[in-house]
Amino acid sequence: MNDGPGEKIMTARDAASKGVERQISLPFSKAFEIAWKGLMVRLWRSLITMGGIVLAIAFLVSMWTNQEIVKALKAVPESDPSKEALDTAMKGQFSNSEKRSIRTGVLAGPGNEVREAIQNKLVSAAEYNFVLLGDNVSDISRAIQSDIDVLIIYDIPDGYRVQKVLDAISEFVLEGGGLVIMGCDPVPAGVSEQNAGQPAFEEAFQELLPARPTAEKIQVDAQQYSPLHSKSMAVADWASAPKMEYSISGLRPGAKPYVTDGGASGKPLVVYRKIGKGRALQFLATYPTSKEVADWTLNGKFLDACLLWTGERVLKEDSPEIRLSWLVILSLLVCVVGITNSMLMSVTERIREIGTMKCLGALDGFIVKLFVIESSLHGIFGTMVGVILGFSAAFLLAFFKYSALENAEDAKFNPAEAAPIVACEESLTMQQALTIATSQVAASMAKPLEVTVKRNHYTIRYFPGMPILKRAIAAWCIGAVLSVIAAIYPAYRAAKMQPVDAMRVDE
Amino acid sequence: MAEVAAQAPEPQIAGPSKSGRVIVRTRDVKKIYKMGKVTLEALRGISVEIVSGEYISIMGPSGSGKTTFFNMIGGLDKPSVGKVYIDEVDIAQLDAYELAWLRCRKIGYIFQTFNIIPVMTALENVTLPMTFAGLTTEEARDKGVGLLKKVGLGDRVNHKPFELSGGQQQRVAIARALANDPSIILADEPTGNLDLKTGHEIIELLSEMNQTMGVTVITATHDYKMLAASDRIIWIRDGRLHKIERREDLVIEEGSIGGDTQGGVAAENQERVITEGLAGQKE
Repeated sequence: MNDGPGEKIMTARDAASKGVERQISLPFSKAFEIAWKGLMVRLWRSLITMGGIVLAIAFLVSMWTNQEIVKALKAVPESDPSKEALDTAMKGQFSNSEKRSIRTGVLAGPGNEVREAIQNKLVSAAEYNFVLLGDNVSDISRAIQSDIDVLIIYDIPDGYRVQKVLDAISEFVLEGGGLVIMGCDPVPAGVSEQNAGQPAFEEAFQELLPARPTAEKIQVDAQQYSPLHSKSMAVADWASAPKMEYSISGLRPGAKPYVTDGGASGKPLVVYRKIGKGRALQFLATYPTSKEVADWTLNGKFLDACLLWTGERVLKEDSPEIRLSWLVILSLLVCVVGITNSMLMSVTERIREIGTMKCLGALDGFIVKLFVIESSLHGIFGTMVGVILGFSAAFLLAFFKYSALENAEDAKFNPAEAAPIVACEESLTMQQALTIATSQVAASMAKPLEVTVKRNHYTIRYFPGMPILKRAIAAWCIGAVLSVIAAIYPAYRAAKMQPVDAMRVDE
Repeated sequence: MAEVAAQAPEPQIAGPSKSGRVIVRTRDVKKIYKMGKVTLEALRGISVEIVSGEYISIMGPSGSGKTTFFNMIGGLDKPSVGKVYIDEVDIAQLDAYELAWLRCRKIGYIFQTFNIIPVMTALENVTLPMTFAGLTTEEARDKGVGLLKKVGLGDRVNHKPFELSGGQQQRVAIARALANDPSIILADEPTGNLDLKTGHEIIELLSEMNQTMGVTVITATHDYKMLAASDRIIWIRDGRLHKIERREDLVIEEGSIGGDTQGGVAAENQERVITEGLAGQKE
């Protein structure tokens, strides 16, 4: 850069003094005007670009809408006449229990009737999908930790009251396994030689066990025990205190109290409630550990009830919701890549146009604005359509899926009907009683269900308007932000185009 | 190439036929492209002066550096060595904002492919540079309609580019180039995509604008029809200034205008045309 004599090197300041000024930035409105025109002219192309974001956002919004509707319907008050039927309709939302069979572990000490019934093959392991846990402490611990979803303990024998088993059970429950404790009489610590110094069972499970009734008159709040079955479910007796009087509250309107007198007449006692951090069912069934109890607890329908309480474990393993979220995230990413790609193509197509604008005095920032505005418009309109589509799809689906018949009988679980009570008379042997019970169960199964037909559409009655609106706005923001992000690189590329590119002759 | 260059005589430089201030000045402009290990010297030192109000044609075969030189005096490219002054401003000293300002107000560009923005009407195309220059919509519209009338498109103000013929599009481009009353109009092969008759009309229009508005017109062209309209012709050859001729010094052979590569060139240039042809083949 050798300047000859007499010519001075010009500086930027000199340039300014020569009358060159800095180009002004155009207001946003001008860029918007031009970008809008471009969008209108290339309408079909824009619509195709929008297609990607429409689908991705529709996917997201349909998932969110469904979540909100399910949340709202789960919160339907107990007083609703067909809450129970609604719960049945929504059961799929708790877990995929209908597709997965639940494996039950049975822990029963030697001499226990259930254990004997199982060992004598009076109940079929294949039918109920249970496993009788062995006598070896290590086997029990391992089985509890790995093989089963629900654990049922009958008269836990002294031999198992060792810390290792208790720990395994605690862990199992805390991880979401279902625990059913049947007929667990208090056994003082150190009662036998094996567990000398070990905690008593009730001490170990203090958190899990409800307090034993001591009063002569017992007030029972059915809801506390089983909100789900408070309609037909009832509470029962305490075999060791058959003289007690019960009064039951908290039943749903129309519910039939079902009070038995426990072992005295051979009717089983069923009291269960939610306990602890994990969820456990406690059956305070006392003496008559009969076929009914075995049936109820091992029977698939009964386990459905267990699963409603303990479904967490199953959900954790195999949650459709988490898989769905991943799909949504993936489709949003695909959509970003799609927008970037189509914007890059658009930039390449418009090299001459961009070069010309720069020749006419456009600044880099203006070109960036053009492309970012174009992409945002894609995002805003595409998302709007996507929100409407996704919401409509999810709403229609929920509308038909989560409707329920008012006052419909709970066909799934009605202890009185599902497993009729066998009067265990003194004269009957255990085997005789079981045979009678089995035939009665079969007979009750064959009965057709009677339903009152009046359909309630809960999706409309309990429509969560505000939460869905919030989600829709969030989806809108996500769509707009993503489309701006997708436009950054193409816009940068466009801005870096040189005015000389306008001179290109080849298309 | 080296032999050809060595044989090249000292450039004969004809001074401007018009008097006025110097609007474009280059001093020993060189442009060196580095492509990996290969260094290509596209321009090997060109010094010219163009005076305000002149009609200049830059001629030269492809690969001669004509396009590079043309871009340089249009403020679209910066020299590797040497200086380019546009309206006495050294463009190498300008930043992006100042260059944009210069392109917006001092230079009007006309392209071989017209480059009308396809999404805008004729009027919007003409008013776009005015928008960049900060004119209000009303001012720009009035001025734009006036310019379109001047180029003979008063009845096509609101037509979209696809509704216009090539010649009409180029007229829009001329009106757009004149939008901010530039000192220079830079036309890159303005007749390259037009048929003979339309091309002639465009040359006449440019010539008319040059005479009535006093705007300096610089064209890069292969079209010998251009020569007839030019005040001076700058011949670039092999990255060097070969010759600057005045129009009156040219011998125009009637009947051979256009088509014939030697048409319009005096017999003394025959040898040069041949060597240019060779150079062109080598590129």
